[in-house]
Amino acid sequence: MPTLNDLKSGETAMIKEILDLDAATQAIRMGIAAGETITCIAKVPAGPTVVQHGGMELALGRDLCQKIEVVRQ
Amino acid sequence: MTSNPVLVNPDPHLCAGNGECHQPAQAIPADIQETIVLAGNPNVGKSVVFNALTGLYTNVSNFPGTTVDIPKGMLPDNRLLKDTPGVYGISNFSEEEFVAEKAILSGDKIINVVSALSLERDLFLTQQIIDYQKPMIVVLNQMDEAENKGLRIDVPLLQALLGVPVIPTVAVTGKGMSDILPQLTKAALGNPMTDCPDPEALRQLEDNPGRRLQTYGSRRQYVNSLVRQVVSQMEQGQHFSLSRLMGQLFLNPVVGLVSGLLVMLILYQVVGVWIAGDLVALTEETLMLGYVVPVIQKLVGSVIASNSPIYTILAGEFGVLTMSMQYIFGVLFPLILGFYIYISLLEDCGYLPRIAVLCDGLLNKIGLNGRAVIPMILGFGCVTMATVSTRVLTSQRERTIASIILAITIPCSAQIAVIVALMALAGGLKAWGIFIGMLSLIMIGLGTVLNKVLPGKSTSLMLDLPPMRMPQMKNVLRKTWVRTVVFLKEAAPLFILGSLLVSVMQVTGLLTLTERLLTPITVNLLHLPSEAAQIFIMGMVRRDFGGAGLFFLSDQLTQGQILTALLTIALFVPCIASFTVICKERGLKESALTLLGSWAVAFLIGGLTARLIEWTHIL
Ligand SMILES: Nc1nc2c(ncn2[C@@H]2O[C@H](COP(=O)(O)OP(=O)(O)O)[C@@H](O)[C@H]2O)c(=O)[nH]1
Repeated sequence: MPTLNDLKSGETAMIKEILDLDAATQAIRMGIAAGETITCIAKVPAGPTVVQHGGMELALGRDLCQKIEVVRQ
Repeated sequence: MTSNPVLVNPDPHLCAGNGECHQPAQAIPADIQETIVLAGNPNVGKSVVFNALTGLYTNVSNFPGTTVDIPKGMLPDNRLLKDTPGVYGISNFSEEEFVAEKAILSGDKIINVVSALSLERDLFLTQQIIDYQKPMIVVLNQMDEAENKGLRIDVPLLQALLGVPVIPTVAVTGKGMSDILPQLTKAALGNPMTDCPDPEALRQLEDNPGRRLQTYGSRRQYVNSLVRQVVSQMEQGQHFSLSRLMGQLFLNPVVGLVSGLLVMLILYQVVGVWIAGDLVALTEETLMLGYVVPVIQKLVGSVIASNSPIYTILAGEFGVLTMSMQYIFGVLFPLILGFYIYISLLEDCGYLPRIAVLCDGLLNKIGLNGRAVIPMILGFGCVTMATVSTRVLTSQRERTIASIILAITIPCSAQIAVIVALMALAGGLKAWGIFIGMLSLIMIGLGTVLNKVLPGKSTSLMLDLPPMRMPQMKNVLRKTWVRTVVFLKEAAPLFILGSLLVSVMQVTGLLTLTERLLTPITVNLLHLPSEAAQIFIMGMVRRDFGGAGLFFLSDQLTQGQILTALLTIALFVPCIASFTVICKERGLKESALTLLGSWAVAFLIGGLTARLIEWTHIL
């Protein structure tokens, strides 16, 4: 299963699952949750991934991205 | 500023303790009729709204989470308005959220500011406040930016669905702002989400992570359905947006590196060369030493004989009156002012969060995440302030690491000025290389060790990036000015205390005694003359004091000795002010360890550097 870390800049994907309870709780408040579609707008090499969703840009650290499973669209 | 009768907490950064401010605060009348709480996500324009409503300064910045303490102001009819840190929900994931939760749940009425740009995100908090059954109104801000993006928001429908008044505004131009207070009287309870538990049950849910996520999930779905009904995208297709382009660009590592270097270079040129060199030469030498100090000496001399100990204490070499005037107004004031203008600009335009993203990977290696960039950068202004701002970090573990690194390896702006000036004497570029290299090595080493030793795991970055915006000059200047004034208010008494201490020691002969006691360290370990002990004593009072003391000694020192002394002082103790704050923020045990650690590291590295320079003849 690909994770957020595998997305390249410009790719769109649907979030399958966030495998970290605390992170999932925090993210759902901002609108990022399983079933939502996000677009990767930047990827820092060996660093965070920046996704766009609902008028918001969110940077997620590498460790966290590893725990977010996605399905490419 | 301070003459404003309702100014309560001018700058959240400078306040230490849990929501308590150690700055002298103006009194709040005892007969408060009502407490109104301003709540919202970060960067929605809450501070601008707060200012407009109270006519007061508050911290307007673009970096999520720079407001940690609670600024308060008065509204007409004895109503108290409290600002809160920007949060995404009423939970307790960080200290900021804890502070906001407390304020929101205890308020009589809530003004919830939301950004029209990101309703999907913002309305979660709105709905949560409604679910907690708090009377509220919604300020729908940044309508101009939403329009530019082609978003249409059906305000009457939103108002009907939420069941609370919704006021569309453009806070920066003042549009709609005059409607806020009149609408406040119509604050309503609103419509809770489907199957909403009662407030007490909601609060208990916060302690049950699994069920909480479930409830958040239902609220998320409810909010998403609201947004689908209310928001429509007008023009299809993306039109060109400079803000968007810039935002993207600054996330590029190459652009980030180049811009970061440029930012540092400009900082060096402006603060280090122009202000520390040219301007301070004017204010310190011409103004203070040329006019003010001689006048003080004459005045004191006309009352007290100029060879008496009292005269030495008041107006001598380290005199309370003379040295304080010279440093506070001659050196510190222009420096701090310049530094804060610069940082405030970077903060207001949305540049800092993007740097935080780029630095995240590196900071992970020392147990921190990108968020730590803000305290680190603020640390170059003043470690005291930076230590307070470590509250934006999520876990206690990260706060410990950041505080220690700040106290030991980050020189403050007052010190940087002296360092810049002395570096020219110490051998220019090569000396800079050794200096920066050593500090970075220690930072990495210290961080790696702390990351290994401290229990637990640091949290991963989750940072919402605000759009890049033109900085608002008014906000930048106001923030700079208040920060500077508050800083000086805090620094001045310590300066006076410090010079009092040193001059009393001088008069009583304690200074020479201490110098002798410290010879094993100064002479044997660091290969410096014994007078160098003065530098360390003064450095304890304020870091830059030490540097300044070094200036006086510099004609007796070799280049290698100057560099050794500089490095030792840079690593040496945090000043009294920052130590006090570290104690307040991190507790006595951790502070004592930080202090002892900094001494050990400073003298060890100092001794090492001295020998390295001697053996290699590098300078
Ligand atoms: N274009 C536009 N910018 C705004 C508006 N309100 C606030 N801003 C800007 O948004 C940024 C964040 O505002 P601030 O008050 O610091 O947000 P806070 O974090 O909620 O306190 C600042 O750069 C403001 O100048 C608005 O209505 N329109």
